[in-house]
Amino acid sequence: MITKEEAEFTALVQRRSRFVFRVAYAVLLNAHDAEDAVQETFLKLYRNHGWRQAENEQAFLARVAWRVALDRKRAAKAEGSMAGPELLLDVPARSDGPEQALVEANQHAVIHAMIDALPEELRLPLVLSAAEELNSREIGAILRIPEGTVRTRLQRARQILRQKLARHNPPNDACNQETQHA
Amino acid sequence: MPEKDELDRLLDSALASYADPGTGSGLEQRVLSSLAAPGAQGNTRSDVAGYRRWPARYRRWPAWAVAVPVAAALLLWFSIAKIHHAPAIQNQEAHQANGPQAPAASAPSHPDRSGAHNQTLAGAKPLIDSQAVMARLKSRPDTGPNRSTATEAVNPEPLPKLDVFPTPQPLTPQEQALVVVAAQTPEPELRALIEAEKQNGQPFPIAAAHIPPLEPPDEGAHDRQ
Repeated sequence: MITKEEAEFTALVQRRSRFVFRVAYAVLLNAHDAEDAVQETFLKLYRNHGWRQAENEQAFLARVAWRVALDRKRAAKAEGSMAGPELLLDVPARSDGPEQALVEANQHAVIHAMIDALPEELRLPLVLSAAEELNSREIGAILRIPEGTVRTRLQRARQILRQKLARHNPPNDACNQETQHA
Repeated sequence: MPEKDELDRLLDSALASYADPGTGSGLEQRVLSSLAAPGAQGNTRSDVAGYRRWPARYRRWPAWAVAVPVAAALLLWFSIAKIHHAPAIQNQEAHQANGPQAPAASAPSHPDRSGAHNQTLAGAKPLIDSQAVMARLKSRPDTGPNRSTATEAVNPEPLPKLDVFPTPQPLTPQEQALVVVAAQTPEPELRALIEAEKQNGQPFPIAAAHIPPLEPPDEGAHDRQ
């Protein structure tokens, strides 16, 4: 017999598990640790019934998941068993054809590695803004930082990624100009 | 700038798929099944796993957290108990040491009177006439029953009063030897010995020292050298 509360919590898990996973992964950079953090996050929510009083469900879940992931990261760092970043191979395929999908998958994997290489203070706002399209005010409330700082970090993160991507994939125009000069 | 737009588009699409486990990953089912597992309400798998991942020094901290204060408290208790018991033990030891000696010191005082000591002091008059003191104490009028009861309450068993104060001690071997020598030596020799002892106490004469005055060296001695 499932009570109403259990049904609501089950719906919450099915609705927000992936979002919580992305927040945890942005901190831990490891899928197994991130999944453990997801389970711990929902278990805490189920124990203290805090999810029922949350005004902003997304921000509340992101805040709890971020704290849980940070605790796990500190514990793993103290133990010295912090796992290295791993690439998620479950990249959504496009319908542009298998060759184009392979190219994009490769590019996504490269960009994901670049995101992993970002500092955590830049990576987390970027993931939060991209995952569920949270605005700067909500991200600032989650991370307890000013809204202006969130915007600065987002710009800085995107700028770094663009620079790295430009170095990795030189634009065709620049290549053409160099060919003409030669 | 078309290449910039292309980069932004590529970034946005990569960010949208970043850390996404996907819809078919079964994450929700795994979370729900772990929550529904027996024992999930109390000690969860992740809690246990997290605890097991702790290094040994962190897993032992509850034992240390209990052992260190307990050891400190025991040490403090022992030191305090030692400080408090030390004067009591000293008093007890002193009482045990003095208790048997007092009768032993007073007991031989009476037999000594019949020994060699009494031979020399036979003609001397004692400093305190104990019989006269006892007679005076007996003749003192009693002040009433209240006074006596109060005195008994304070000191119910008064210590036995001694005839001579301070309590006479038995003669040491040196004193006994001196008594024997004094009894056996004739009187002229004793007087000569006493005179010699008196002369030993006088200051010993020391002849005055004569130091010749220093003469200044000859002025031409350095020139000759």
